Amino acid sequence: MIKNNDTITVIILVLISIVALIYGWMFFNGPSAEAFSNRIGGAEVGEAGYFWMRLIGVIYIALAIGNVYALLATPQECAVYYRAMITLTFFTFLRALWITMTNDESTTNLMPLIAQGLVWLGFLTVYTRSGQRIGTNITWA
Amino acid sequence: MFKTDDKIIEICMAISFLIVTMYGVMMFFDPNYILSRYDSGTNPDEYTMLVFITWFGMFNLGAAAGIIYMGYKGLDRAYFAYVIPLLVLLIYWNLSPAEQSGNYTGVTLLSINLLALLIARYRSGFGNPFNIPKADQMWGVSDGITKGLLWLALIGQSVNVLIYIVDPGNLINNTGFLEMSANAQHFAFGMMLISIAWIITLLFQLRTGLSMTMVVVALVISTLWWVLAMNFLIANNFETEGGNMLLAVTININFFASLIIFFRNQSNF
Repeated sequence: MIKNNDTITVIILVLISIVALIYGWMFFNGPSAEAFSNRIGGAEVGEAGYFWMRLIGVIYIALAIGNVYALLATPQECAVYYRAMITLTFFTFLRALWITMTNDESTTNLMPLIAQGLVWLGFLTVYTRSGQRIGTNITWA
Repeated sequence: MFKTDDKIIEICMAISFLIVTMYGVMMFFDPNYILSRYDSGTNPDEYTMLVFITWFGMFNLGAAAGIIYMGYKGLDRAYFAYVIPLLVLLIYWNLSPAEQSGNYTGVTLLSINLLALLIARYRSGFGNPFNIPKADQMWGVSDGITKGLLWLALIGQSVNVLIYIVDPGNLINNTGFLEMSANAQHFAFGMMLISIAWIITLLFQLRTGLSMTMVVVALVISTLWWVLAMNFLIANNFETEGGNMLLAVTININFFASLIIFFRNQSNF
């Protein structure tokens, strides 16, 4: 059923899926979203904030399902997905890094930065292990 | 889809999928809406109702995942052995809230879902539901760990039903964040009915062999339940006060056992 035969890739994708589901539900559910907001500095979220957090939650859940689809396909079929996810997670990691460096209140909790970094590294590892990294297939001779 | 050319089967399964997905999404992501539709003005504790509705939502999403799996792999008798008894039990369970609120939408859609699945099963050629072929060995697999976990699942679901029969209020009274009321007790009764359906399909698989469809259904349900539990812990700063140790153990074992069974057997299906 799972067409990806690399055990490390399967483990990473499963872990990222579960983390994405946890974050997805956290952003979607009112009390969890409030607790998340309090942890990263306690900023007032408000109804408009919850609206956008729910939207982000939906995206997280969709990405979790996307990872499951990636498990059910061959690495070659997932090349574009891996590249898109590396780009996405790289930008979100940079954003988390920027917020951590510039916002005094957010430096009390490094979890978002660490989580974003690990997910980015996870996708980098998955992509590298799939043997499709752009450049590695080019013969320079 | 469903490895058949019979359009009636495809249409019936599509109807079933739409109903369970609609209810799954509504109950899991917007339980307030369902609660408002059945509000009889007698809900003493809305939070307890919302928790139970969310739990029921994840069971619907699990059923939807089972239909998606069967869409690729073909219809599976074990799924029908689970969902048809469950729908009969849930129609009975839904009558009381429907009478109280005057809203019969749930009963109607559950009945349509049951009818669609009965038609799909009849046309699929599975034959007499009580003519159950016997596998070469118990659970149809040689893997000892899978067998052990499946026995654990069967015993766990049976114990859950027994606990309800001996002490119907056990789940609510021993869970700090749930508050006892007639409505909450009715939901606890519904959870017990779901356990009965799981016992039926597990006994079916004990005789006919492991069903990957039901493993997928269980994996989706147990993952969502575990995610809910993790969020409960995170939102409460990892303090376990107000939780239920037996429930927490059940959620964890369900999740990890489902994962193990899935990964140890997925390559065979």
